Amino acid sequence: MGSVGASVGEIEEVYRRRASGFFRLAYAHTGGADTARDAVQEGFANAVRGRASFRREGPIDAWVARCVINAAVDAARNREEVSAILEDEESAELSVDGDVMALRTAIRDLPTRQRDALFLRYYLDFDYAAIAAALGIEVGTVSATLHAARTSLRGSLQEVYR
Amino acid sequence: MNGITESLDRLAPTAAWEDDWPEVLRRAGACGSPRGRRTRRLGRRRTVLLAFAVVAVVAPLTALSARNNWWSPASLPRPVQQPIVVTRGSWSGHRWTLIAYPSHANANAYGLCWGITFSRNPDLAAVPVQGSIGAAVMAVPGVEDGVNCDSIVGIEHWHRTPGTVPTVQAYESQFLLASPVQGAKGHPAWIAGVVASSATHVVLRWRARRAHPPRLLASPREVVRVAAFPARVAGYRVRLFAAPLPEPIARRTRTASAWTPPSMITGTNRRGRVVACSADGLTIDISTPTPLSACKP
Repeated sequence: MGSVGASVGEIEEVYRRRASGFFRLAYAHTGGADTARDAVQEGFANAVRGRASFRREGPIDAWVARCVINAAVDAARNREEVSAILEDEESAELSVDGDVMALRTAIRDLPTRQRDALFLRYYLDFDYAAIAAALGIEVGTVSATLHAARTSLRGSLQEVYR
Repeated sequence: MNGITESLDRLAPTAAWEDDWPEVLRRAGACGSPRGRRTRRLGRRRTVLLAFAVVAVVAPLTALSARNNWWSPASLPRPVQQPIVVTRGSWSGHRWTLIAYPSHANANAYGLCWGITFSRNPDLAAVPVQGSIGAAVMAVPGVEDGVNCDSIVGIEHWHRTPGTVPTVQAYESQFLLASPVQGAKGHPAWIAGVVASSATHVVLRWRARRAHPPRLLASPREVVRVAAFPARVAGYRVRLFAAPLPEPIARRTRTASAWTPPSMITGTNRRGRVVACSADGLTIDISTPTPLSACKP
């Protein structure tokens, strides 16, 4: 057992260091700045609430990342549901940039693991071990996952920018 | 590659982000008005500690309790006394307080909880929450870095019936609590634990990384030698210790982002004789303390 749980101070330290990166990750998931900010705050709040469940089997950054990703996925889902009914301001803004919408579609079409690995690598500069810990996969598979994501996305981007 | 980078930049542009940590804490129910804050914090702590208790205490003890027929719904654990101050000190100008409190479920199942607080005026009014076998988990609002609770096996208890539990004076590595990274407020990384009452000093040693064959670090900068303080917790003859982590170990945690517990913990008495031992690679079982021979030079 060793030590169990994370302290609030440790989580705050991750927040101070990485919140802006998590914001970009959440933005990429949700497509809206306000929704992304809300997802980051909620993700960290979830981490604080659930800090006793951190088992220290990997870096705390990776554990917190899991909390934020989950919050961002929930926020994106809620946002899509709301957008289907109401065309809110942010959705209207997004619809102006067709390339971004196409890009978002290409990203969304990636398998979840590839998309999350890509976001963690690019927006948070996670190393392979941290990505593996955040996604619950073997370190040895991270490289292949990222390669597959890039290859797939590159193909989609050629379609977008053709 | 650049195309992907540019695309990801477009997808989530670098926006001006403003930290709002207090709002995170409000969402988490960790603060608010003084009265509401206390109520919510206790509620949250109940949940957190209950989760901890389920994972850390109930699970490993279930098998043992079943084997020994300890469990009885009529004998839920309860706190024996409020938290007490074991000792106080200062690390690099940061004052700290080591607290502990006991609990018990029945004649054979006991628990001990302890933690470090850097608060100048810790509120040690523990509030009983739902218990588990052996350790009655209580909320301690003044302790921000967590409280460790565990049933004590291998630690002599003067009320125990001879022959029903191990009486070897050794302890297990799981009787440790640590904040292995420097706190946001600049508090040093630390480690704390419990040891048999006959041990006046404790030595904590870590394994060298990537060393083949495995060896323990031996430099004075990498070995923790610390006094163990008597804890006047009802029913226990134990001592507790607390120490800042050596910088090389703290740095290892920061760079590798993974906490590495000590590989060998040795308790010695006044004459330097090994009286308590925990060493990894050996059986860490709640009913089988590490043999003292494992820690002898």
